[in-house]
Amino acid sequence: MKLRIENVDIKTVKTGTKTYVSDHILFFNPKELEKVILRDERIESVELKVVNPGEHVRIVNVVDVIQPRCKVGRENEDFPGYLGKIAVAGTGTTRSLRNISVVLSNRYSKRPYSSIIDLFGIGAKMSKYGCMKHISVDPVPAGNTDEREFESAVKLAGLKTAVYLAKAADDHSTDETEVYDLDITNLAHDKKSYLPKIAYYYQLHTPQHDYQGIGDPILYGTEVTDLLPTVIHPNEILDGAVVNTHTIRAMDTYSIQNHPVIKDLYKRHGKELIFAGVVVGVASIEPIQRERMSMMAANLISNTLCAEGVILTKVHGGMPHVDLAFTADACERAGVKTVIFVNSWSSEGTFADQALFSSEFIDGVINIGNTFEKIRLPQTERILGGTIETPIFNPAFSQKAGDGSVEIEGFLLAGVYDHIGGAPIISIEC
Amino acid sequence: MNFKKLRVVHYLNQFFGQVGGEDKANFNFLVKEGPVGPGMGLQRLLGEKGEVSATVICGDNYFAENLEKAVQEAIELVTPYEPDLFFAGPAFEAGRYGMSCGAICKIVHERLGIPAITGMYIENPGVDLYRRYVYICKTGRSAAKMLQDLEHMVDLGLKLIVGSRESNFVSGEGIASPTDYEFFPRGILRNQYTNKTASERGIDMLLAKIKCEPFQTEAEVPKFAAIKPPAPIKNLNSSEIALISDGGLTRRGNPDEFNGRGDNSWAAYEIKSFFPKESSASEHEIVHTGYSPVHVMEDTNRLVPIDVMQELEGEGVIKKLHPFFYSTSGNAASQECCESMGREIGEEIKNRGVDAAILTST
Repeated sequence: MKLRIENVDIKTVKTGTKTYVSDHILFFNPKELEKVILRDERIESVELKVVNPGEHVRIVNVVDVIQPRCKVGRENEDFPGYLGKIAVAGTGTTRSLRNISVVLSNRYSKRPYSSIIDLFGIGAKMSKYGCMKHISVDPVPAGNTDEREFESAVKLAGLKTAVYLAKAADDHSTDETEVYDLDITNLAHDKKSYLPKIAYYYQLHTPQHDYQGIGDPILYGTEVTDLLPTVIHPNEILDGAVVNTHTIRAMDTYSIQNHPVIKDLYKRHGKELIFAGVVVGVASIEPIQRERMSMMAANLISNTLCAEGVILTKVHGGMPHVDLAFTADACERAGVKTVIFVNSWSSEGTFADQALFSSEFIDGVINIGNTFEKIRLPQTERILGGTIETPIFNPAFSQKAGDGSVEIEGFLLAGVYDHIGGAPIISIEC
Repeated sequence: MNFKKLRVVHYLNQFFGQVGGEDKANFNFLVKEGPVGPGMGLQRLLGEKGEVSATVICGDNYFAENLEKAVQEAIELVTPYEPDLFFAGPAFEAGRYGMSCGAICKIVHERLGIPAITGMYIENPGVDLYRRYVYICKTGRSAAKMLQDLEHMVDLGLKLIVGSRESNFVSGEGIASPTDYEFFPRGILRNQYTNKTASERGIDMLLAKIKCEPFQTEAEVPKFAAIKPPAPIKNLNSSEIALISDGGLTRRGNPDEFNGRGDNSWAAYEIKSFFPKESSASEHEIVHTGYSPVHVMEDTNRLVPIDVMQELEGEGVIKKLHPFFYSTSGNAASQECCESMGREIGEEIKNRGVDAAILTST
């Protein structure tokens, strides 16, 4: 499968009467985009705002961040299964806008927490979104829309916005083209290369995060709670087959679209390693199921992808942590060397306190940081996606978005910590 | 750059302070102007950057036997010098000296908010007692490599002075990393910025592992002590069983202040009053951020299986269900916390004549 991503860098965003990109300036007609979004009867109205870095703005109730992307020359295949029709993602050409994102808020969400993005002060400095331009999408539900239906409508509104903006660069020149070309089936039998074959195990989800026991659609428009370990092509992940759940937990759609492990394995493919492919899996609640899934995943990695080594990443949570270790253990027993990515979750103690596994085989651990390390943010002048009364989650005390200072656990400031390895952060004992 | 000369105060025991040997271990405080003994080494290393304006000296025995009084006296002697930086010792292997160095650095840092650094050998009991509060540099057993040890202390001191201006910690704190400076980790974890992303580091590590090249894991896997399980109950039908749960079940309003994450407290609830016959969800609450409480709130027996236990009691399979159940929120609490809670609950139910406990989780 071969995918070309044509990147267009956006320097400025201006609202106007037409939507197009010229000379790296995105001219954007909010009324037209509004019409596109309001075709969904579940949405009554929507507020669309352009936000620039440096503005004294805090965006709250953030449920996802999405990079503007669209397929070139393929009708209705954007984010297949969610927005577009069912089609394989990851081939052909995709246009991508850089330095700009779609920030999706759902102020009507009843989930326990959501994320925030600050465009000023320490919050902006820490986050990769702090220096980008954003279109904030803040929809209102139509009268009798069910809670879950509205959540789906919100996600769709975000995806539609992403596609709408990317299409605006139809006639614009490309600043950088990325090519992702990998033919997995031939690699397994490639005896000529002496480079080590490295696969990637992508733990997509954990059912403990299923809000009210129902999973969010994240793979080709379907939920994955009962998904068995599956081989999918890395291009599919880069090109819209996978979107984030309705809650950002140090992972969002933007990061998945730019999946760091996948991009880095591609970068080093043919030079230091052979990228052997990807297996996706889901954490298990029951111990027997965990054993079964770990075994199946390890078998796919060692006998189908024929990998000698595998990188494993997890999602937020303790059970995913245990599950990942089980899977890594199974891989090691199957003869595949592993490196697992885990996060710390306390500011006190030692690593040994916080490892939820004890396997003699797991000797290669990457520590992506303590995703719960607290961040104290200053007062904001303006709020989007909510009001000064919007509660900002902190397990120890209640606080509101407009308070004099706001303290949050790191994983809720979008763009700082990253389970899939994109942040240059480590947690150290000191 | 501001080159204001740092005011430094140094603490020594009677021996290094050149007051006397063991015979003078009982003497209490004395302040000498300028550096004394090892303080000369400190001064040489500081050079133009700082001046050791005073040396506070105290006998090891006096300090050890009058700890609370001694730290008060010490801070009163140190404060007037308005130091920017404080050093104590190094104490090497000397236990009493290590305790006094640790105690004095702790109070200086707490009261004056300045970096307070000492040095000890790893086996000095002062290390474990004070490492969480004080920067303790790693030294040799004896004063054989004194100058090198002092150098580490000075380097660390100067780094801490520069503080948050040059912090590469995500929090921006002006703290030091034990990989860059020779001190015992203080039992905290902090996020630090790295040159490479986690992804880059991970692939590097995996390639090294495959090629059998040396690599450094970023988190050691714990080694758990083997705990011998007690003998099984001989006669179940004459036993009293208690239920313990870590699902975070408590009374509505969370009056016992459970913490949804990292809890270090537990509560005993009388089953009769906690689960009255006509109970409803409105009386209980789940304080636990790790799972959806929906199913437990519909029926608390799903978490704390009172119904089944009462059945077994009725059938005579067990003699008695203990009238209290023990509840905590078991979500991301440290191993140390869990062990101490377990010990406390264990003591309590043992004293109440319980023979065995069933722990139900989520």
